[in-house]
Amino acid sequence: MEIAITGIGAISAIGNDVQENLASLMAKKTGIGKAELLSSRLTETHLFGEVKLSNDQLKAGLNWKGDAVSRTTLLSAWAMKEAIEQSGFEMDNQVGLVSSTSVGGMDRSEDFFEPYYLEQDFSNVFLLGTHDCGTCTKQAAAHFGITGYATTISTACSSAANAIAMGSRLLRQGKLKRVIVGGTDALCRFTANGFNSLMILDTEWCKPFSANRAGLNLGEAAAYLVLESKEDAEARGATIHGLVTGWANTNDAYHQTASSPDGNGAFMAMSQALEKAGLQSSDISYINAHGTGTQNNDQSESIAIHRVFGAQKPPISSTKAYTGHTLAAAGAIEAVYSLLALKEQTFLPNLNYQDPIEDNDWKPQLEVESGDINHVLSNSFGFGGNNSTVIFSKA
Amino acid sequence: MYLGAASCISYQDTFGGENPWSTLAEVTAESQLLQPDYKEFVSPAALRRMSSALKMGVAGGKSCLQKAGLESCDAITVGTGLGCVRDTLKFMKVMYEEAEAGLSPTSFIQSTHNSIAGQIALLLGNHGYNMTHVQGGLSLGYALSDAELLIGEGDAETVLVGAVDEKTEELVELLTKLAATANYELPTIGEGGAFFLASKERLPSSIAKVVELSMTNDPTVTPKSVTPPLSRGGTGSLNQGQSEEKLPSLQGGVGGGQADLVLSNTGEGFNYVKYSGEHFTSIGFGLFLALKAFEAGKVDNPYVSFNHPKRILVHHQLLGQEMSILLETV
Repeated sequence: MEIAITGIGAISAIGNDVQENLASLMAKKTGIGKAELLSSRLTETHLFGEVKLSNDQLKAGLNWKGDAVSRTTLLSAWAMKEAIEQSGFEMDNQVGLVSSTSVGGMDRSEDFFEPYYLEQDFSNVFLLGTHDCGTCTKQAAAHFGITGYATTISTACSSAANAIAMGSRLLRQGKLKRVIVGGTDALCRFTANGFNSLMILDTEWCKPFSANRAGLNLGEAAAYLVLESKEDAEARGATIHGLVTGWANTNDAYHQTASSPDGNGAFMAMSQALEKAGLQSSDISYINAHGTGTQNNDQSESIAIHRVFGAQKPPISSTKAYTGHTLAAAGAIEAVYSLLALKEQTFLPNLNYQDPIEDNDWKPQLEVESGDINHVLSNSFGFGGNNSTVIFSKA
Repeated sequence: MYLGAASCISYQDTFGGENPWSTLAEVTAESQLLQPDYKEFVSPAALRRMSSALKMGVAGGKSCLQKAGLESCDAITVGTGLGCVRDTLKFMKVMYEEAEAGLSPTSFIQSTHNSIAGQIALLLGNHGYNMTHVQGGLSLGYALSDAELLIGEGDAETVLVGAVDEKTEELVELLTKLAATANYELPTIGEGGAFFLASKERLPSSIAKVVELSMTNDPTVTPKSVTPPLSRGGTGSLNQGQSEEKLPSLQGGVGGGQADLVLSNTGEGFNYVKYSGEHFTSIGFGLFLALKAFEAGKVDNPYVSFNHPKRILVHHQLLGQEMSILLETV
C-alpha cells in the first residue's frame, strides 16, 4: 500500500497556516525573536520562536469553549483543522489520530503551580485536569469527533516523526482507513528552564551546522498530516501532497540526552528508512536535517549523514533557525516543510550559517533554489537516544 | 501476537515469580510497593539518581527479558499515563522557589516521558524501535497495539511492552484536590510497573495469545471486545469478599468466543485494582494476574476460584477511557 498525504496543516512562529509558513520560508524570514506571550524570566535573556496568536485568539478561531484547555491542545486543534478541511473527508469511526507532545498541558499546569508552590494556593487546581499529554489528544479528538483510535506518542524531540510512522503502519495493516498524524508543543517555563539548565540554549539566533553554533532556540508549533491509502485518495479525487515512503526509529543507546560521537542511532535510522522505502542514498534529493544548532547534535548528525551519503550528499538544511526547535512538533512541522519542498521543487535554506564545521566536506543549502526534488529525507532526534527518519516522496 | 514472559512490580508478591493469586491483599493508602533489590539490575551510582518510575522500568524490563530467556529484544514500547511525575514535580518546585535560576538539569532530563524506555535501551544496549505512549488509561493498550503493528509489519519478532506509573505523596494530594473540584470520588491511588514479552511466534515462555485488543477515548463507545455487554452467570464462582454474585462471563463475544473469567475495575468481574491501587496503567497488573492464572491453570484465593481458564478478559475503565484485552491460553 502506498501512503498518501491528502491534507497538511501547520502553525508556527513563521505563520498561522501552511501558506504563511511557505511565504516566510521563501522570504528567508525567521520567526524567532523576543517572546511576547510566554511568561518566564528567560524571555529577558533568550529568544523564542513563538506563535503570534494568543490563547484567546486561538480559541476564537476554533470556537473553543471552556477554560480548562492548554495552549498545546489549542495549537494542535488549529493545525488539525487546516489539515482536515484541506483533505476534505467525512469524519467517521475509521478515522484515527496519532498525535504527539513532550510537555502536554504544562503551560496551564504552570498557572496552577506558581501560586501553589509560592503561596500554597490551590485555587487553580482544576487546570491539572489538562496536564497530561493524553488529555491534549483526547480533547482535540473530541473537538473533531474522532471517536476511534487516538494515541499520543511522547519521545521528546522525535515524537511527531514517530507519529507519522505509526500512522503509516496503521494504514498498511488495515487498522484504519484514514489517520491524522503529527505533533504539538507550546512554549512553557518548564521546557525553557529545562533546556537552559542543560546549557544548550543560544541567547542569539541559532546557527545550525555553523562551526560557531552555540545552542538552540526553543519554539512552539503544531503540524498535522492526513494520511490514507493512495488508492482511496485517488478514488475520491483528493489532492495528494506527497507519499510517506520510508520510516525508521532506532535507539542510540549511548546517553540519556547526548548523541553518540559516531552518530550510530542517526545512521541506523536513515539507513533503515531508506531500506523501508526501497531507495538508495543517491535517490534522496534533499535532507531536512534535525540540525538544532547545538554542538553535540550537529556534529553527530553530520557524521551520521556522511556515513550514509558519503561524498555524494544532496542539498542539506535545517529549518530550525526559522521556527526554533519545536520539540515534539518538530518532526511534523518539518514534514510539512519537506512536502512544500517537494511541491515547490525548491530547496529550503539554512539561516544564520557562518563557518563550516571542521570535518564537514559540505555546507548547508543557503539560498532558496529550485531543483529536481523526488525524495526528501527528514531527521528528528530526541532525548532518550530516540532517532527517527521519515522519507517523503513525490506522488 | 503472543504474550509472556511477564514481570510485575506491585503491592503484591508478583516479582518473585510465585503465583500471587493466593496471597492477594487489598491496597490501602498506606500500602508500600514490594520492591525488588534494584541493585541486581542497575549500578548503585545510577540507582541513586533514579526515580521510582525509572527503577520499576529498568528492573521490570530487564527481569521480563531474563524470564523469557532473551538477552535483548527487537523493540521496546512503554505505556505510561503520567510518566516521570516525581522528577517533573521536583523540577517544577525548584524552578519556582529559585525564581528560574541555578537549576540542575538532572530532574528535567529524567522528567521526559520516554526516559523509562530510553533507560531500558541504554542499559541493554538495545538499538531497536523505542516508543512511549501516553494516553491516560489506554497507555498500555496503545503500547501493545504498537507492538502488534510492528510485528504485523515484519519489523519485529519480539517486543518488550511495559506499563509504568509512579505515585508520590504530593501527587496524591494534588489528585485529591483536583477530584474534589469535579465531585469525583478518588479511588485508592497506587503505582506499579508491569512488563510483557510480546512475540510473533509462540516462544517457550509464551503464556497467552491476544485475541482482541480494544481501546476507546469516547465514553459513549463500548470497546469491541466487551460487546455485547458483560452478562451474568459464568462458570466460576466469586467467593465472599468481592461479591456474592456469580462471575460474569462474555456470552457470544468477539469471534463468537467467550471469556470464562473477567478481570475488571468496574465491579463486573474480579476487581484486580483493589490489589494494585488505581492508576493509569493499573491494567498492567490485571494483565499480569491473567497470565499467572493461565500459567497455574487455576485461580484459587478467598475471593475467586476457577479451574483451567481458557479465555480471560482484562478490562479497565477510567475517566471516560475504556480498554479491554481478551486473552486465550496457549
